[in-house]
Amino acid sequence: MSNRKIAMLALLVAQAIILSFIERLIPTSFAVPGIKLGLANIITLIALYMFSVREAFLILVIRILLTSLLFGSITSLLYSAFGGLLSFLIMALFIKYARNKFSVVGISVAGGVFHNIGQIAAASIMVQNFKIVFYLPVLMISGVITGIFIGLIGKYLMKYMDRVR
Amino acid sequence: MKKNDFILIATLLICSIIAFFAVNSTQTRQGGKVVIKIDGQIYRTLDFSATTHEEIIIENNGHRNVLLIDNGRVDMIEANCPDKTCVRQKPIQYENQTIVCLPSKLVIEIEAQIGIEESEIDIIQ
Repeated sequence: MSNRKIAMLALLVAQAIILSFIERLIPTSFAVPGIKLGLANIITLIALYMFSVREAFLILVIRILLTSLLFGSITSLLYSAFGGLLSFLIMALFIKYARNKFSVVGISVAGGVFHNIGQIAAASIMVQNFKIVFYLPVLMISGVITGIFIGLIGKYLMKYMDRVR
Repeated sequence: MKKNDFILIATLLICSIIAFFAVNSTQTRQGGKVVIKIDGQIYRTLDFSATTHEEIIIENNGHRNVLLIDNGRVDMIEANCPDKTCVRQKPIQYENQTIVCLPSKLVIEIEAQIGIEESEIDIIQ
């Protein structure tokens, strides 16, 4: 890995951590737990387009570990990791096999929805209660909406990121 | 955005809206029993009605949650966890509704009161 690439990956990790921090400052109050913007997903999305799957994965893992250490708890680590990994897997598969069929927005929506599916799965395993799955429809709708938002941001940001590369 | 994006978004939205109404239809009957579960095990159950007024303190492994039953509704009013997600959740009153607190592995469920026939339950809207 070249120095330039290491610096770029570190920069993206730093940006993702700041975005997670900003997200924590936004107060959210919903009837359903687990709804959030997922701002840090902008970085995962950009990384998947700009770098290899391995490098993007590295950014994601370091980001999840560091944000949990800095502002989270073991609980939040467990289920944000589960959601994050599932969302990453889906987005990576979409980019690998259907890159030309979907735009950034579509891929981000798929990632957002699967993030919430992973989160609910992890939560229901953790508390050993499957009634929590009842929250899924609302979480999926929120995943679609935030996915569109994150995808649009990613789309505009990528124009500028290309110049950096 | 491409055509496939719109198809994906529309499909996901339609599926989740259908699922939303399906779930909602299972949560329309006023419940009569609160089941408090920690880590999947029943910690306490309690019958309640519109006139019940009770505060329940749930303590487990350093986690402390306070549940208020009032006016036929069940609400988490206090938690000592950092995220307070369970406190922000709306009060629940219908069968199958839940309040979840992940750090303390706590789930509050509403069930039908045992021994009362369906027709005898007043449905409070």
